[in-house]
Amino acid sequence: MKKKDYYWKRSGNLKSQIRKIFTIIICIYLAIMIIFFGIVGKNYFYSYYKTTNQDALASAIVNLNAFSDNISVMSRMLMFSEEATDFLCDESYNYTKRVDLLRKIYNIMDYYEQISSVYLFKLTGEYVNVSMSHNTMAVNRELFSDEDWMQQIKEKEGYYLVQLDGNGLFVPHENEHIITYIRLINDLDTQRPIGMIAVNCSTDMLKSIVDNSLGEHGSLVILSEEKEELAGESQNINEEILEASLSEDVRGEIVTRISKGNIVTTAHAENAPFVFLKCSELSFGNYPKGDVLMLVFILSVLSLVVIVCLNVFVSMKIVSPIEKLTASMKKSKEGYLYRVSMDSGIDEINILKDSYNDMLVEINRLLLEVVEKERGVQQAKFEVILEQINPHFLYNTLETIGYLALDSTGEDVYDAIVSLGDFYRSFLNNGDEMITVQKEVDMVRNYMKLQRLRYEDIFEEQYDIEPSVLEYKIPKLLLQPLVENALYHGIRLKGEKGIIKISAQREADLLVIAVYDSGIGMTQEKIEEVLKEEKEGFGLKKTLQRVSYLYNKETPYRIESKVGYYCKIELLIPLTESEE
Amino acid sequence: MYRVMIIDDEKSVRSLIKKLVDWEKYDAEIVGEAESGIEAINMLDEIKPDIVFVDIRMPFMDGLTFMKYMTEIYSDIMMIVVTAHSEFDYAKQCIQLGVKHYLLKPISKKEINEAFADVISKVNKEKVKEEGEKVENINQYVAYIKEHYEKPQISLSFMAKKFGFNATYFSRKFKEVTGQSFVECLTAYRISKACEYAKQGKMMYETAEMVGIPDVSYFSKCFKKYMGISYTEYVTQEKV
Repeated sequence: MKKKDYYWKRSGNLKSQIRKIFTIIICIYLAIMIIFFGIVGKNYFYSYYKTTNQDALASAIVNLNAFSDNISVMSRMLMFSEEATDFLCDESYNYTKRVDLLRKIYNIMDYYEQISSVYLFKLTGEYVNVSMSHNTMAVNRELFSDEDWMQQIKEKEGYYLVQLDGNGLFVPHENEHIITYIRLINDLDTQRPIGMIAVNCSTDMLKSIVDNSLGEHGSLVILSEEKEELAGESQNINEEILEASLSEDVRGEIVTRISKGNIVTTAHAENAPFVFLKCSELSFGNYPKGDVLMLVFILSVLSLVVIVCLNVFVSMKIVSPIEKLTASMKKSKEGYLYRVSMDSGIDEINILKDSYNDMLVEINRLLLEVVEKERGVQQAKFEVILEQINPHFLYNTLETIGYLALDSTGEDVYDAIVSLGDFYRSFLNNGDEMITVQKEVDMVRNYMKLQRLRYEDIFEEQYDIEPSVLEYKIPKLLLQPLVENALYHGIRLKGEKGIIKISAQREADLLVIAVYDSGIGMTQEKIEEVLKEEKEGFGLKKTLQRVSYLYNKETPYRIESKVGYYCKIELLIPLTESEE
Repeated sequence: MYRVMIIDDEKSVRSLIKKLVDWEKYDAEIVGEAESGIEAINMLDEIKPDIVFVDIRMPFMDGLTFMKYMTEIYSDIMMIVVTAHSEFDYAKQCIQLGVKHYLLKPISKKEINEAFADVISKVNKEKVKEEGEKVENINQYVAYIKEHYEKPQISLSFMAKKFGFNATYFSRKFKEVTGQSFVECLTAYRISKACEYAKQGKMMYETAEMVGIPDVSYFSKCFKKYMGISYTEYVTQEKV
């Protein structure tokens, strides 16, 4: 898991990673936008639809009440008319009076176009009626003897009761319902019931209410209490919605619910057996104005533009310079340590570039230094070899031996040749850089022996070697150059017989090797000159250099001299046990 | 008879050269040996060589410097260089100085004989005619010696050349007037100066340089010859 994570982080270059990140940001951003607008929008839509639904229902109820009031006024006009009273109370009712009554009813009905028929009943069930339609309805007069039915009307105490089909009183034609406003008529004097008036309207009345109150969207239906549609269209109102909506409503209250993506508002009419139901679908498509959607769209586009601009900026100002920088840096893998030349216009990247360049300069400098140093080491080694293999000594010695051969006994020649052979054996030392102190001293002994053959008796040798150091290993040819210096630059220039003394002692973890000569000595200036310049034939500096390279650190040395009397040079060679 | 001088700081080399060349065959003889250029300069006037064998690397005064002084005065002395050094720079300078042969050590008998034979054939035996102005006041040259004794290149020929005399004539005239040869006079004065320095306790190599004989061993020889004791002994004696 961790490995995978690591891999993910590593994969892809900066540009593609930035693209990836920006894409993710855009997706998250859009998702949040959509969710946000979804929640806010839903609430907004909900309250909007709720309000419009409630307004529509309230308006429908007001319409219905107004209509009912009209009916009430009309029925009142009729029932308190002389003609009606005559019909209900006068025992001597005749045809003429009946015609008068009918005419009266007609006249009144003329003002109210929604009224389809008017029935005036005696308590016995006898009645007169006027119908606008040609088909008059059958009347179920048995109901007058039904106590329950009568009770409903009586309870209203003269106020009208709204019923569908007069609650079974009328039998309308073919599924067409009528709305019946029925009320008791009391005798004005006795206040005892003397009859009833039923005013019937067609459901067209409800349809007009629906049309007036529907509003801009959704559907409005008016239902009977048996959930039978009386008016209005109900495309998206199905059984389930009805079941859910009409369960426990209290009469007179307007209730709003959300059901299956619809906002359903219901209201039970107070004085009528009707249920008003308004249903609006909760969907963005239904949003009335669409400017919120437009806003969302514009915001999204704006955000996208901003993000893309940011991406472009980051690409141009950061990624491209970094890519250039990386391309340049990649070149150094191929071994070219070139400086990067560009201007990104961004301080941090310029600093990065400058630091990289400075680093390159430094690295190049160090590389050069290393190369220089290595060259110096090789040069020093080479020069030492040249210096030492320099055959002058050999030639001169051979010359001397040649003279000996011509001039003296064979023994001298033999000694000289053996010394020369020994000297060169130690000198070559099988190509090893390191040699034991013993061998080095022997080599110098042979060297001095041969030199004495050349220059006669101008010096005397002395040795002071601590026996314990004889087996230590030191770089070869340390002593010979110093002895050569002692002889040529010390003893010979003095013109008197001198002493050359070789000593080797242990001092803590250092081996101190010294060459002393009683020659003319050196002034301080001369010592400095000798150490500074590579004076030809003067082996001290080269010897010091060579030992320094071998031990990879400065070789300590001591020079002690009194002008005209002596010079002593000491080399302090590090000793390690492994060298034994 | 051809006169030969050998200049080398190694006695063995000088001896070897003496042994290798068949002098009699070439009608030649060795008239002098010197251990350094300094010693050689002081001997030249006396021994008048026709041919010199010179080593290049020598203490106090190397072969090249010596030959430069020498050719300024004696332009007709034949030079054969014998050295262990084959550096181009040396060879080049030798050619400029008119060196006839440049022999590398170790010396081969055949080579040295051939070179010598070649040089012999080139020696101009006709002596330069004696000419030059008359020497008037010898004492002024003695004064010159006293003034310039510390210059190692001073010699009879040097003086003759400098003042436009014939060397032989100047030498004879000098001896007539002063009773000693030019070299004797010069060396005697140098040694007397050396004694003064010795009394001051100077080291021998310092004194040698200050009196114009920077070759200590030659100085030592001269001192002993003139004073009968060595410089060191003289210093000790003076101290007591």
